[in-house]
Amino acid sequence: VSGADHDDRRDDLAAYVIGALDAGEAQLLEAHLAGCSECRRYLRALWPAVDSLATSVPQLEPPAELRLRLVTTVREEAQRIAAAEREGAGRVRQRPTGWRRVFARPAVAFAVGAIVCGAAAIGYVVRDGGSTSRSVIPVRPMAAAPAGSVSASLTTIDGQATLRVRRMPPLHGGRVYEVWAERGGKLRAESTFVLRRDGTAMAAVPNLDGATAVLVTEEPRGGSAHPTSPPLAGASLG
Amino acid sequence: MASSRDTRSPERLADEELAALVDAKDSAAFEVFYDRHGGAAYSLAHRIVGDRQLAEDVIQEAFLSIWRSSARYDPTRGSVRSWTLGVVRNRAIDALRRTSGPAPKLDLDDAALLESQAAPERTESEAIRRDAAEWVRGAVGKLPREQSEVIMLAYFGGFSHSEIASMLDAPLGTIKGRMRLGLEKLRETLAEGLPVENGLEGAG
Repeated sequence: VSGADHDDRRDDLAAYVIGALDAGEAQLLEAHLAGCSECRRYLRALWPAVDSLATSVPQLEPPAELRLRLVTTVREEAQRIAAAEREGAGRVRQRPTGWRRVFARPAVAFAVGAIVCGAAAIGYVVRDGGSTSRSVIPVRPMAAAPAGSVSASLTTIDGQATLRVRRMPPLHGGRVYEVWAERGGKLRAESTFVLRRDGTAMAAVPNLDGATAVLVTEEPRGGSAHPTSPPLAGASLG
Repeated sequence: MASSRDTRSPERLADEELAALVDAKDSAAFEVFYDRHGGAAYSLAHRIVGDRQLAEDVIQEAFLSIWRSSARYDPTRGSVRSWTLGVVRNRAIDALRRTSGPAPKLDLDDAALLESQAAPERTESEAIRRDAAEWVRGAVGKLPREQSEVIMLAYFGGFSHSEIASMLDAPLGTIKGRMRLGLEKLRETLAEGLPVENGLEGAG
């Protein structure tokens, strides 16, 4: 690397560290950073300067109501997650063996029904303020999933849901996980997701109206219009 | 989970331990986490978006994203505090772009804003943060105007280097070079603990 290239790279790193690169440029630089310890060292050296910008601003006291709102939300969510995990753990142990047979069938043929009668396991429902209906539903591993490889839950709020994955088998070769909503034996693709480096993920399930189950399959890059593999995980919406 | 819960009270944990507990959905740990970083975070958000209500929205989004683990502490990005403020900064810039309200405040002189704060709201911890902030502001103020200008536009205004280049009618490379020189000088000033007159010797 010549001296001039080197300086250019440092210019880029400086722009990157204060968020001044475009998304594409930032991605290229991140790819370079992954393999260049010298640039990583330089970047680390710049962090204190960036931190100082953040802390140089006039210091204000945040309103007490803000803390109250945050803490209330967080306590509620912690309780729901803990309850869903208790429920989920109990269900995994007593998973009906019938599921194994049903979902061992070839892809597409697995389609559902079974998940509904397999368990009527709504985690719990919280009604707050009257009209909003929320629930946290355990997502159970299915026959195609290696033992202990799945930990996830589905949080629904008024017909929309978020799938939270704490653990799923790693993906390879650009493959993705795809989320499906089941209605009357038909599956509709809802979204795709990949895992973060630590194996967790979040995925939106935009439309749950009339759905009786949510399933997750592994699919090729970009997702599929119809499932091409048996589901690894699923949740019954009862 | 409960059986492996650390029995020490969250207040006594290091930032990194606290972040791990927050990630494990420990709501008590989250409260301590917020109490430690919420003030600096709110101040930063307010500086960027220039509006109390919007700053509150930004903080709520940022801390809930941390709680829900859609943002997750990465030790390679520096301390827990700087990572948290990075999350807040990005959320605030997003909010700024969404609202397309008045142009962001870009001047270094925040004295007027400080004066506008009601005195009784200030707490002891805020006083400590304020002293540190004043000191750092002094260090930033020591930078040549052309360097501090591009850094402020990018960090607090959310402008990209190409936007700044056309704003200032200067070549792209020049803008990035000024950012680098400014950050390097700032870093040296901080490392020495005292403002320096010219600090690029021995860099790197």
